[in-house]
Amino acid sequence: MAGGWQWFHRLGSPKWFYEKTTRWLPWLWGAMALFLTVGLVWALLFLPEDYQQGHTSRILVVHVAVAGASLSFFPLMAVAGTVTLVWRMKLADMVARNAAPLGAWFSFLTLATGSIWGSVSWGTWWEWTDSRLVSMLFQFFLLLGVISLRAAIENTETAARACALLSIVGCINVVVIKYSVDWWNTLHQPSSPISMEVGSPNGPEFWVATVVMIVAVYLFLAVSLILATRNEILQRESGAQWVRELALEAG
Amino acid sequence: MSQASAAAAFIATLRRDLLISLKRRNDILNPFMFFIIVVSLFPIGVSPDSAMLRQIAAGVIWIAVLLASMLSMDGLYRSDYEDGTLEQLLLSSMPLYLLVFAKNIAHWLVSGLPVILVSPLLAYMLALPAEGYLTLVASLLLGTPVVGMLGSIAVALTVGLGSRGLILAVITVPMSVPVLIFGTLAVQNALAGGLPLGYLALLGAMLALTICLAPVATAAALRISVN
Amino acid sequence: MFDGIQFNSLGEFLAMGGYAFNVWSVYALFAIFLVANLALPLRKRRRILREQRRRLAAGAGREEDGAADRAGWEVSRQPGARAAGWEKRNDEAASAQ
Repeated sequence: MAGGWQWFHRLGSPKWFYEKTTRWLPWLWGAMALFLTVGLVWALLFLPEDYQQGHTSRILVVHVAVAGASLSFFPLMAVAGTVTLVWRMKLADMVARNAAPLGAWFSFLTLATGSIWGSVSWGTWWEWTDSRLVSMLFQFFLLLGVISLRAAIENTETAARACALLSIVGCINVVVIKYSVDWWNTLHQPSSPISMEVGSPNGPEFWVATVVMIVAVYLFLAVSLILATRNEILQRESGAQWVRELALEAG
Repeated sequence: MSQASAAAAFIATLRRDLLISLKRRNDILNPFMFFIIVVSLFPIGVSPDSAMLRQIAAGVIWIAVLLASMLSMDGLYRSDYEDGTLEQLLLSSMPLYLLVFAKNIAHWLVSGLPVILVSPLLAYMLALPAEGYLTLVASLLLGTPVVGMLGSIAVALTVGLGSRGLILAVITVPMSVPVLIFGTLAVQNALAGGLPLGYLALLGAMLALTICLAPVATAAALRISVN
Repeated sequence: MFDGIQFNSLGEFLAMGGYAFNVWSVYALFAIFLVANLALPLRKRRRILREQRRRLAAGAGREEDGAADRAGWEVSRQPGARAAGWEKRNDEAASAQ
């Protein structure tokens, strides 16, 4: 019985995570570089001009990829929060702690690229009838709430559990906000001309670039989050023997 | 036996909180006055034109209610935390869910209900057409407890902290967006001549869901922050 | 391979059909975002390891004169003052590096 759970507890060990990711990171870096290069070259050079949007469809490749990835942060933090609350696993909180600011960055970039795209497509930088951007704005606010709660509580353990709970509540809320904002808009504008749908009429030469970019952005998310979590491990475990040895080796 | 004592604890908490707030009149008066002042600023800031006001009346009242409830929420667990009552509640053998729920109800009765009762008057001052009143009050009755209970989670998470006004706002404002949307949509629907039962039913569903989940989360939050 | 390229000249590529500002600002933001979120953790990691080494060096120094300190501690019987002295010496060692 214990054997079945052993991997899970090992997973919770910061040292185990650090050693594993040392082995994974080169592969992740390589894959990320590959997908980013292919995605960027394709999006900038080979993506056909859209008959309506012209070259601005190149914006959408980045925007859609970043937007998709930023939707994964609250579920991620909610899962990590559940693990923190139920099993009191330190590693889960280290991931969650670094996910919040990264998620805020992602949400901000989604809003920025979305409104730059909108400035051409809608003729205005901000459009309340686009429910995706509006719900992204509220997700951004909630992420700032998680970050400021973390900053306000001094005790690390208390902060971890409080943020875990807020992430779970926030995750449910983000879903409710998303649906209610959608509802709100469909009623205001039944046949909205504004749609950020990835080019269903545009054929594969359009959406393959987007898919490549989505994979690239997820790989980037993983690399950045792992790097930040490893830093957190080094800081929190600074008294451990293996961290000391590591510091001396690196020097 | 234990069921009876849980009910007794529920009623005792409710009574205690109501009595305390009745003694401290400011708790009732402050959100109430704040609500009236905020609403009366809108005609001055936006336009005194009643055609314009009619359109924004429902939204203005809903936003003012949200702000007022946020103002009153700040003190929800503070005095209990400072005088140690909260710790006693956490240590008691009664389910914390019920005690938290009782406190939420007491708080709503004291700070939410007066605001709702005065809202028709302010709606009149904002030239809300007659068809809207019933829906406005109904949506407020269903929606404000949701906002209060969601806010209660945020207050519980920040109960021991010194400077938390902004954190509270950043957490509770996005959370109350769905309530605001359906509350104002219901009124607009009524003004357009429709029967807004669908929106009120959605608000009711949110209320039911919040009653089930929010006090659980608040109880967990209190256990985390009071340690 | 290069047939698929949508532009005939570099100038055309940079102009993006009149949407140069929109397209390039998005890609610039994206680039800043990627580089910042990779470079900052890497820089922080170097800083953490450097501080860790510094602390270890200070700790090693402390162990060497530990015996003398212990002897002095027995005589003076002022643990608080001793501890403060240690802290101060460590800080000095740290700032010297």
